[in-house]
Amino acid sequence: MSNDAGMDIWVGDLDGYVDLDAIEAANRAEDAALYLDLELTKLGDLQLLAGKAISARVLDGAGVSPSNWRFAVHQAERTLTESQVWPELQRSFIKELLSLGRLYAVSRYSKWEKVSYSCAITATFPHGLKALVSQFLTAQGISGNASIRDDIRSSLERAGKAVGLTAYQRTSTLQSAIYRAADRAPAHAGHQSLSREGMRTMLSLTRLHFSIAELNVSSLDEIERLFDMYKMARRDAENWDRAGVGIGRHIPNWQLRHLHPLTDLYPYSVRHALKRASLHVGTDAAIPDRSTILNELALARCGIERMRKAGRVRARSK
Amino acid sequence: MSKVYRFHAPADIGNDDAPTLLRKRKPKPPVAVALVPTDPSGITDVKGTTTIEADVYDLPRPTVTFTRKESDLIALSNPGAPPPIALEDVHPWLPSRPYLDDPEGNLNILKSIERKYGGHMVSAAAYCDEKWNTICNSIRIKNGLDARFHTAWHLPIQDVHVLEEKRADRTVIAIDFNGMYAACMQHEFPKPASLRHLKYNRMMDAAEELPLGLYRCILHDPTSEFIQRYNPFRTFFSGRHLSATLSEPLEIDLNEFEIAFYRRHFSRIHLVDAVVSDRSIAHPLAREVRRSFARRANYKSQGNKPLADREKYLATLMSSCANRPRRMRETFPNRNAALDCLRRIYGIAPPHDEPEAAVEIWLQGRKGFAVTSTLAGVSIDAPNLRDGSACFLLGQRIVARGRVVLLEMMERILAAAPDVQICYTNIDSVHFSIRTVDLAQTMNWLRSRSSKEMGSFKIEAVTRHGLWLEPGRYWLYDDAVAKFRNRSVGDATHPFKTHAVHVSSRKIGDLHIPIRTTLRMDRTMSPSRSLVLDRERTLTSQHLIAVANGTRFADVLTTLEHNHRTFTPMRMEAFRSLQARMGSSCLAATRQDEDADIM
Repeated sequence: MSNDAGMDIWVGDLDGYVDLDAIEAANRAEDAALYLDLELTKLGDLQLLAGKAISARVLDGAGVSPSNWRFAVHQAERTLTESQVWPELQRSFIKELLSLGRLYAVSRYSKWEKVSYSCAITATFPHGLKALVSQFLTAQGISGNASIRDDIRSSLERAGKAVGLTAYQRTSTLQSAIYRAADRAPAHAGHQSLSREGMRTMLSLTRLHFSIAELNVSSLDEIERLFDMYKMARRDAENWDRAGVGIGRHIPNWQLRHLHPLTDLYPYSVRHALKRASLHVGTDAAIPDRSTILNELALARCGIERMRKAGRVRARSK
Repeated sequence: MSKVYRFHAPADIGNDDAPTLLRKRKPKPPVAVALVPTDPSGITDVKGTTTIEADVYDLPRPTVTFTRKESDLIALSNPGAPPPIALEDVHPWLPSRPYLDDPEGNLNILKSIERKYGGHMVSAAAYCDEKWNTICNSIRIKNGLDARFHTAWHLPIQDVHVLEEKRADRTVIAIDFNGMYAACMQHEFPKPASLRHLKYNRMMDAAEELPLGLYRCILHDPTSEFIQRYNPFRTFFSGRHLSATLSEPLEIDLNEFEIAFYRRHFSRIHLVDAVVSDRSIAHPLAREVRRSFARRANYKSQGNKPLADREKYLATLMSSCANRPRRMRETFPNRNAALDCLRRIYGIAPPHDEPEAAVEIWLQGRKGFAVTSTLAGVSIDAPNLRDGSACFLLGQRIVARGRVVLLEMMERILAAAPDVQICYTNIDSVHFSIRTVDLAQTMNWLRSRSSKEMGSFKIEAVTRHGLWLEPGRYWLYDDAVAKFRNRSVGDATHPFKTHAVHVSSRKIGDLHIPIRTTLRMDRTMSPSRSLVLDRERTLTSQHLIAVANGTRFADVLTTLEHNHRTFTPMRMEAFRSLQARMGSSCLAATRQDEDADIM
């Protein structure tokens, strides 16, 4: 036996070598476990909205160690308002929660709709959609004279400002503006000859743009209203679909496929938080504590972080 | 033992003295530009006015405007197209001209600027390339030990000690060094080709003379009150630079002149090893920067402020042009292998209790290092320390010399009068307050030592009061604001701006997307310092968070949160109260700064 690996000592009574470092390492591991246990007990149950709670032990089991949790709370602390006044706290909470899952939702949307991720990201910016539209028009050979540009810009503005419409309905405003542009442009053969795939991508990106814009809300009530609106629109679309009226080929459930708020593509951790929040506001009138809100944001962060890690492992094992 | 390095720890450089040829950079041909002044309705160029939404693909490229504002207007009206270059951004020395609501006027401004200064406009990158080539011609070869200068602590002194000086019986004095870095370039430098590794492993003798080089030292037992009070040592902590505690021994890489300074402040200095050179050289640009300083003085005496400022700007570029390494990209099978490489080459070794999510934030490119997961594994994008695209010892020693010059000045100021309070230090300036009864005597002392020479100092301002929120944010005032700076939100004329709107352009795919962002003063205030009211309740002092070797990550987070919650509102309150006291009268009284904030 060599002494290279660690501190081995001959113990006559045992008639063998004893590895002191190994004992030391075992002690250290035991200490660390004890310390972790202490930390977990100290953290205990983490209060969430709607009277729910999650224990630090469960979190640790799911790969969120106390130090990861602490850091997630720190990040939430940095973004959440100091105010304890509910409307302000709520606004800050909702904004932060929705922005946490946004990129993830955009990435899922781009896969779902088969549009490139970079275009999808571009469409999320206020000026990004304008850039995409003008790029599309140029590619289709529609040179932007002043009247066409004004028409496109004003229909984008109209679509953005209209009240009580879903992103799908807003998109049709831009669609007709592009058709008009194609019909009016002197050098163009009209909207029938626009590239089908290009138009599909363009409309999909437009819907994404408005889907993001409609999530620019500052209260749970507004989110509820948005969901209700989508419910109504889906019911109408179902009836409409059954009646089978319309122009062109009938594709079953065509509209229904596109009548979802973007939150449906958000990570579960964010959607669960939203659900708890609306439950909380719906059932009891007690205003949530700022620390509860912090926990909610931290939990959503940890959920996303976990998902990203799992994604990385998956990508590597492919 | 706390450690003072660029990152957490020293890199494993060992005694690699393999020579590397310094590589020059090819000059790029200058690009023709088109001037496009604008107002909200249209773009005017030499051909006449067109609508501002001129077909983006028709605009000649690259386009140039004078003000940032015009560039932003064009960018916002033409999303997708590359935004015009704003001359006042690219050439910060140009005289400031207001943005006019009239494209004709803006065109005239642009034309006259072009006529007067067109021949003097050089791009910073091209200028640095040219000077780097001079350095290559002169030095030719460095060896692998130069990388040690990259891992040593690299930043100048920037600190705030006091929140506000508004005691009635005191006066605030601000002094400023002339051509600090230019002067620091005049000293000796070790010859980069003949660096060699030396083992010491012993205490330093009392009267020992050390050869030129960078020494790994362990500083024991601080002895002076000065070093305790104005602790200049910083340590890297999760993307922030916090104070390295003096309550335990300090491991640090110091140049021989720094040791000469610090040996007065520590009882024992243990030398571990060193990178030294027996042959010294002058900085290859030493003469050039001296000439530039002379030109600057000349322009100043002629009242030509823009060209004087230009020389100052170019001198700054000269002092840092050896510090522009090319990037290297390498892919590793997993994250641990990538982190191990960062530890060996750059000394990036996050403490074990720093969560991965925290490390990821500052390893996303903000510090010049990016670690990204790709399908092939984990890739890092980092500066290349070995390929001869940079010579770090030049820049490191210039900044280190600047630190020592400033610290020595602080010591002399403290000795010059009784009851001196140093309030603020930033690279090459010191703000301090004295009792007004000592003013005449102190001013005599300062005047006798100040001059217009390079490396000397001048008295920038003498006011009754001052407010210092954090480095880069201060207001010196009497009945009106006399001198101020409000980093990232302020401009030269409005002392009490609380936010600034920026249009930044992000290139996604082949489209340039303008993004409007608002920078708020309270949101950009660092939570690294706390405020403490003294016993007499007359002065609030500022304290940077101190970390020791065993400081727990979570504890620092708690302190940062507390600072953010408690002291950012206090700072904003002090700022608003000053604004209220000054009223609107200060706007007229504010004078523009003599020297732009470039050095």
